Amino acid sequence: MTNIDRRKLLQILGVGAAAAGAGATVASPASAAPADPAGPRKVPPGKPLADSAAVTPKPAPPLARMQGDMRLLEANIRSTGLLAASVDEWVLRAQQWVNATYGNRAGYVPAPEDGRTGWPTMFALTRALQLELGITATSDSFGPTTLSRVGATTNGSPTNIIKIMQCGLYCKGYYGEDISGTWGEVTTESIHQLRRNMGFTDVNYHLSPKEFKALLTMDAYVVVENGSPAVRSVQQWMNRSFIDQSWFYIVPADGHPSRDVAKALIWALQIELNVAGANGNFGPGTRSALRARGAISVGQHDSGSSNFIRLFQAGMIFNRYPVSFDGVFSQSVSDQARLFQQFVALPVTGKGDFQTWCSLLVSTGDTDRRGNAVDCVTTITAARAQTLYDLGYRVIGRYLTNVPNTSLDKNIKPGELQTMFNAGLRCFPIYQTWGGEASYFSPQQGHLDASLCVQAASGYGFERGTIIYHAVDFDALNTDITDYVIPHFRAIQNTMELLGHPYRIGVYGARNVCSRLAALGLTTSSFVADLSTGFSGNLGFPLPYDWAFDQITTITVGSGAGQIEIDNNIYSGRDPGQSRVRDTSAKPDVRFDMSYRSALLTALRNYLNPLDTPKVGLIHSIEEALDKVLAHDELITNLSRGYNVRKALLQTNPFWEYWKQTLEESVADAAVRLWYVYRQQLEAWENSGHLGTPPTPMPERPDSSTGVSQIFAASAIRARNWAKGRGLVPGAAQDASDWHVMWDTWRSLNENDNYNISTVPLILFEGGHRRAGISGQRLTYTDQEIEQMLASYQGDGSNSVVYGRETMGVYRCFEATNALIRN
Amino acid sequence: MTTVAGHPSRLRVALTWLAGNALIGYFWIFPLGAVGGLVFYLRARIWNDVVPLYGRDGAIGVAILIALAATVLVGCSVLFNRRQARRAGFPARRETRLVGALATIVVQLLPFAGFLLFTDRTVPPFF
Repeated sequence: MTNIDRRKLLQILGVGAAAAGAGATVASPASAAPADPAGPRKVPPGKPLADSAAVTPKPAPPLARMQGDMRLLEANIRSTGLLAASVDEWVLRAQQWVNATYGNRAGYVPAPEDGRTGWPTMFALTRALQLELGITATSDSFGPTTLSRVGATTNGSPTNIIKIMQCGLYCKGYYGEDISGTWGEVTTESIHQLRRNMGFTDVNYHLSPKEFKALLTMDAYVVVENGSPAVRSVQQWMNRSFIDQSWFYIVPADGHPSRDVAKALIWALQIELNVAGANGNFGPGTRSALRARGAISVGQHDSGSSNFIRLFQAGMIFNRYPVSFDGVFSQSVSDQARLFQQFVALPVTGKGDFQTWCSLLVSTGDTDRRGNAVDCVTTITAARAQTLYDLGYRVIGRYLTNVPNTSLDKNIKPGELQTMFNAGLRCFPIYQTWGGEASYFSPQQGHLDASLCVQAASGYGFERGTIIYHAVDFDALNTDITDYVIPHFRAIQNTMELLGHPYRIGVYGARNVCSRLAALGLTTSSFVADLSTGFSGNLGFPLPYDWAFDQITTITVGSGAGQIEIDNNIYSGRDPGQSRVRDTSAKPDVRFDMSYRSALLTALRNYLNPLDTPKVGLIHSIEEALDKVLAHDELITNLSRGYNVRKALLQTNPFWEYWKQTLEESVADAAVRLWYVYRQQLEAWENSGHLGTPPTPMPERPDSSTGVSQIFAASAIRARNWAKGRGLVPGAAQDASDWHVMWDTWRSLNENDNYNISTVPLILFEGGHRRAGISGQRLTYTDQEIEQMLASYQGDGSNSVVYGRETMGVYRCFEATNALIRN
Repeated sequence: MTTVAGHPSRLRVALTWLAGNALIGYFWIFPLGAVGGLVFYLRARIWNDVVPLYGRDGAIGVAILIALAATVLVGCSVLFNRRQARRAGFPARRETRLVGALATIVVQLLPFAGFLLFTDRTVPPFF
């Protein structure tokens, strides 16, 4: 069955995309999943690839063919997401062959038959090879025994070993000559291509043991996932230069300075420095050898067999600094070294000195460095503060909360911040409840964390705009970051946005975590966990561009009462920390205690029932309005803490307006919706070049007071623009004359209670400022100021005075209950 | 259940009359309740001592709705009660009509009175 026939079959069965993928497998090997070690599947020499049919495998017996087709179909159906990109027909055939051949052998673990290259398939091939070599104690690892037994694979090798090699080629994205077991010209060309991609320039007609080992890994030898060609060329040079060294195994040439690559670089440096017992770890021996070697300066170059300067250049390239890779320490390399030193807060010498080497090679850099910042779980007393100040530390990271259900008491203690400020220290807050494993992170947890950190930070009086560092305290792999950490931080960002951005979001984590979150705009500052050198997210990853604190060592300093264990942090100056907090003598509000509900309801009824205000025929009762407000208590509490105002101020208008809703308002909302639907249809009709008949015009009704708090879109835009203009919330002003903006805002107000309620404080602040010149946000507004702000909700007409007076009574009911709860 | 004179029994007519007028009375809650809101609008316009539920457009809309609802309900009421009077075979005397009209008004106001006195005065859930 040709690929075209297969495509037809799969299209008939409703998996057309998969069929396209199957057909495209040969023509487009890059269609493998991102984790695949994609390589160019080569056309057999003399057989130019005109179309997919040109490389159609040999016809199989009908039954086997059908079974293969059905397995391919199953694989397509099983795989989720981009079916076409995740299934490779040749990989599937390799999996089928190795399972069929070795499935009954002891020590063999079958490969999944899903058409996707992955470690399980590579392990299956490795075990198959071991069985062929007579190794009964098989393992997933291509270890020394396998290496010593396999020897060079040539066209005279056993058929099955050649077939395993050809399966490996298919899994790597090269053409494997139909897994024929015959080493023909196609296999030769694929091996040449593979070796060229690895970095070898010589022509070989065999596959060395190290190359075979590399073949059965998930390493890629072409640039993948935005890898750097410059990094790849260094990786290829390493393969070429060190392949004959017993300690060296072929590293990936994918443009990413991964853990193995970074380790190989250190190993190469150890060999270069004649470090005894070279092992790829950057230990004391390597450090002292580096110190002894002295700094590299402009004009020096490698000579003979020395690669010292080239290794320095490799380190620079791995850290994304564009230098030539020629073994010459030119002025241009020196300039780049200066930039690097500046970026990582080293003395700017322009030389390849010890500290620069350290920072290039390991995440901690020179661990003897003393930074200007610390973080600690210990309470900062006056004596400890003095110790830290005397040692040159100026910024102290302290925890906002303890971890629930643990005995560790690490949070900021009452008066501690003032002690720090008095000693000339500043503080940066860290939020960490757990965060020690991937499963902790989720959108729900992110929302909760944002909420709790706002409550905690506002409780300590941290000013708006303070950066709070949320901890990701585990070795997060790329997939963990994608699947768990990013959604978690997106939820934090969304919640902060809803709360009017009371605090900026920072992250504590490995380099890769910090960089990826920053790249997505989810964080504004990074506190890098470089102390954890073993984290896969640190090794091989450059320091994030927005790093503020770089945690490199844990040390104990001071003596007596001033003694304290700290994490020593290098400080970039990007986040100066907080040198003051607002007065917290007035207690902020807390979450509503539902045992007070009936008392509050009675108080509201007692006030409202005798009140001379329209209350017949409203849609909602007093009780319903109260429950509506209490249903949003978490949001309102966080808003009040974020803006540092009384919660009752933010409860009053939503309660009143929800209670006062009538059917007439629903009619008005419907009219607005009809108007904008008409505008959208009209715009579409105009954009189509007046195709067909124009939409039926609707009465112009661009705005209405809508949603739980009955807010006009124009009022919301005006209030938000006012707040943006004063830096109260970030973002650019919006144009209320643009009907698209009006429609988006109106719809948000109408459909999203959270958005609606989060707009209320801005309307009150803007109204209070406009009406009575009230500026700033505080817990200590006077009753007159509160009444003016509440009155402004009704506009500036004479009715607003009555409105302010009436709603002031509601405010008092809420505030009396809130005061009982918070005290 | 008919009488020998061809009229339905008076009990049946009375029950139908009571149920029909109670239903009409239920629908009177809306225009009558809306009148309350309109009064506040007028008070706000004239004396400026209260906050109305709506602005000018809303007031006009509500007034129109009240007028329409009242017209429909009065029409329904007249037609329904005349029919019941014919069914019961009441004499078309002026006194009888007056008593009947007063009784009808009382019955029709009962749902509104209940709404005012025994509920939280929100829009009835029936609607």
